[in-house]
Amino acid sequence: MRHRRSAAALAVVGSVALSIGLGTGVGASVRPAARVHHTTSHKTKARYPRTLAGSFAFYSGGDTNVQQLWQDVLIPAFNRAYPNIHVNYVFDEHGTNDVATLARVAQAEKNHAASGYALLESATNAVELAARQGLFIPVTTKDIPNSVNVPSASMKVVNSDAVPYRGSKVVLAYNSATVKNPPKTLAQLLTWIQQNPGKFAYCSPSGGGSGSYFVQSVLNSYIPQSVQEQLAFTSNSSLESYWSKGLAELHKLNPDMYGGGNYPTGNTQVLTLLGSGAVQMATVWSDQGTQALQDGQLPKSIKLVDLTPPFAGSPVYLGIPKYTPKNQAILASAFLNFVLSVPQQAKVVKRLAGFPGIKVSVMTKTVQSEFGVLGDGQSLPYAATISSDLNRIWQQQVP
Amino acid sequence: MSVAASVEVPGWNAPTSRARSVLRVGMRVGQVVLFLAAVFFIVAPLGWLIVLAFSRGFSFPSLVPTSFTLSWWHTVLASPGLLHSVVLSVTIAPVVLAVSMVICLPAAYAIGRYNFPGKRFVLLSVFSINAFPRISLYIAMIPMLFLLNLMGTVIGVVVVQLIGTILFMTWIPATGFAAIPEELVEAARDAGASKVQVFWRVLLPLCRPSIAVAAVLSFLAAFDEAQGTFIVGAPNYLTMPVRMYSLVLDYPVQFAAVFAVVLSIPSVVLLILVRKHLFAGTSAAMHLR
Amino acid sequence: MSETSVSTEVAEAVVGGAGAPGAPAPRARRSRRSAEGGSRGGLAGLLGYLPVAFLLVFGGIPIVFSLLLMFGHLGGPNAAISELGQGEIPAHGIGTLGAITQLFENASYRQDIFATVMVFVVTAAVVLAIAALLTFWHRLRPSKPLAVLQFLAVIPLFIPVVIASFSLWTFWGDRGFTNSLAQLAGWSNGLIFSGRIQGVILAETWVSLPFAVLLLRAGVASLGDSSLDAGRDAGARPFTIARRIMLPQLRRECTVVFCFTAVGALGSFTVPYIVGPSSPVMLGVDAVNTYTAYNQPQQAAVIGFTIFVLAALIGCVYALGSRSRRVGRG
Repeated sequence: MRHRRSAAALAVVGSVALSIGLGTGVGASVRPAARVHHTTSHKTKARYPRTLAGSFAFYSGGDTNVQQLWQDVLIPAFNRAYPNIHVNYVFDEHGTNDVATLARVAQAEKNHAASGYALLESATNAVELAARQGLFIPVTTKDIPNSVNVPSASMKVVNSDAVPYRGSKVVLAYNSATVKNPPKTLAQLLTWIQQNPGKFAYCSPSGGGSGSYFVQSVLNSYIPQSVQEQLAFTSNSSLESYWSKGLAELHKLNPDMYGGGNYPTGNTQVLTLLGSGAVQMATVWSDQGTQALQDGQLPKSIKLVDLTPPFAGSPVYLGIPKYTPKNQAILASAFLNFVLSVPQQAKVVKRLAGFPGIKVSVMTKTVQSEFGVLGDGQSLPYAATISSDLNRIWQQQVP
Repeated sequence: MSVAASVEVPGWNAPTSRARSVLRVGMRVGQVVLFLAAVFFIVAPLGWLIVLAFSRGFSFPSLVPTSFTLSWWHTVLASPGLLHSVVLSVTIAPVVLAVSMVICLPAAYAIGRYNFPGKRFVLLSVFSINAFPRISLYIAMIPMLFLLNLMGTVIGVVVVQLIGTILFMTWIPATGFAAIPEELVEAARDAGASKVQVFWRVLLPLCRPSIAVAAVLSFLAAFDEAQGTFIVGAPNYLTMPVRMYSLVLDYPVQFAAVFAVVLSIPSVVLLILVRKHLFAGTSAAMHLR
Repeated sequence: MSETSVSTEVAEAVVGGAGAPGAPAPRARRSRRSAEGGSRGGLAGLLGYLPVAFLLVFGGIPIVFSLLLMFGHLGGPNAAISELGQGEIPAHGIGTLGAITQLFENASYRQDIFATVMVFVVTAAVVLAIAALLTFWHRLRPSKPLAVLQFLAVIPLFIPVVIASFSLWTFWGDRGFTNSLAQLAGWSNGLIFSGRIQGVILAETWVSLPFAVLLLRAGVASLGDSSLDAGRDAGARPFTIARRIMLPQLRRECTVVFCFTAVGALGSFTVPYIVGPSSPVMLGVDAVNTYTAYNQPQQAAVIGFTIFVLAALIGCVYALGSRSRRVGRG
């Protein structure tokens, strides 16, 4: 009857994965990082004067670490640069209202009316879906000069209608106090789960990417590489027949899962189980895991590691809805451009222990080396519509 | 219940006094156990919540927290925009309640005291629409709200919150109006009261307990509504539950506990305000005994 | 309109001509009023339609949109959402049953329906039993502990559902208070309800109890002492008085409690989502998941109407339950 918390899967197609994977080699960049920084900040000033004034609404759906990133770091920094712009930040935990907000934006577009929001972020695939429907104002290097540093592959996924500003990936978290020899590969992990019934948890794919990407890894272990790529880049649902073996495997693991097959509802619930000692091992988002360790929500004995091959990761996009009033769209563009600047991107990387939205190669050397803490390998997650199907089929066949 | 209460019923075939006293002791114990179990079931989760609101952490299976703190309170109360949301909530919900009463009470009166064509249709449609999943309803409402220019407005928020109150405000007072004995009305009419007087002086006061129940339920339905309010009211009209619901599940358990306590304050104030009416029927009956 | 007229037809079929729901059962003493009732029917009808007019505009029209969506009409008002959605089965001509058959052929969906029905029936029965026990008992033999219990039972009403669910989830969970207690008593993992369907019933009961107690309390308060005293004087045991004298007079209140609790549990999302198991899930959770996580608005509409039909059936229970004649009240 009342408020519902339904987090859709965090499943944005991540070609940033590729670009990061390929472009991380330090020194491989064409231009020195410092110079790029200089030029972009100069452009920022030229395009959007400090005197800009007004207010715009920014919808942001994600986990609370993202909320803190905006409210405690990026928006205050933006207000130091643009003291007369008020960012009306609307946070929606886990993207509960992503679909409804998306429907509102879509209807506004149909009516050629303002949706009420000048900028949207979503940790679910909502923004990607919206971009595919052409609901956003296309991103150009003229409006957003700093978008020049964004890897072209991740722009292509959304037809250049939105820009990624951060990324993160899923890692394996384990309690080093009790687990002496953590698994190194997926096969070892699955064996560990069977040998330690009830001590592993992943959240239901509908509830968060940390569960979804574990499931995808298991499914992918039975699928040829070429098909995996198609699942990541196309919406060809006929390829879903390749999933049957992996789903059977997951179903077989049911009794060995936490609570004999009780799947936590979201990423945060998994962290709670891990923190309370209810489970010894789980899949978590790298950024959330790192932050929970810093906050003390997770004990120091919890370690975060990559498997070989690693779980998937994904970029998160920002977009400006069409028919946003001109003055608000300008403010939102100024904000977007600011967020994509190298110094702000460095804050994103530090704060979330995640990936930047722009190419790693243009970041400063210090950030580049810090960023290497967790390793930079990722696998490709499934495309938005495919992962929606996965949510449904998993629910029907696994628990 | 039958055993417990039957002890002093006259005419009950009483056993010997010894057996009777054993029985009585047994019953007492049974009652106490039942009472404690009920209290545990109802209150313990809330007590647990309140303890959590002040605790730093627990280490399973300890029943007391490792240490106490006020830091959760500080964080919650310092969250931005909270005051604005509180003001919005305590303004909008009473407005919704008032509108709901204006729309529904006449209807409840008509349903309770008269037969008119389509009455079953009225009752069942109110009932069934209430059960329709809210997410589907709200999303399907979006095109219309744009058409009526209600998207992002206070009136739009009132409209979505109103939907959840209609069932309570129609059905419950209707039951109350229907239960009033006809003789009372006829007696008043015979004493020369006009129809309006009968309504105000006889029917409405007698229906007060059920109207109070309906009012409390409607107020809370409006006050706690978060999903539709978010869809329609955002970005400018974010009520307290909207703001808090968006945080509850993603913070440590202690946060939820603090929110629970904070969110309950207006409701408890309401409870105190309407307590007299809510329990009026009961106390009157008690008085008569 | 069609779905609402369906419910009317159902009601007609079940209720027949007699005793309209919510109406006072026909009484002999009502002669004067009912003569007037005829002439006042028009005005009464107008008043009665007020909330319906509101609901038709803001509830009915969206439901008709959903109905169209369910049968595969993806254009018009549904264009925006269906373009965003996936897995749609478009209509050819009047409409398609594709989405409906697709869901109902799915075993896990049938299990979900079964679980939902079980939860709302059991919850409603349990809530009615507890509330009746508390209020009837207190009416017959008022006592301090019962008064305290009645007061306590109302408290959950004032706790927002999301927080109530969350607190019950932690309280009955494997790291919660009850299991800690069981653990300390040497009973390992003995008291866990979270993540189980029993936990959903438990939590729904907790959430629904206040309403039931409030309503029945108002009901028993309105009972005249004379009829109860007459029972006592005739030497009837309290149970007999409750069953033979109180229950018939409070049948309507009991029916309302049962139906409201049932329909509340049927449409609930938060409680089963937070407290319940991963599978089977209740239909309310299914609808939201289908919309948000599976991105299938058409199938979500089917689930919406499954719930709608179940609610109409509960409404019919009400129609049946309120048919009885009332004994006069002193």
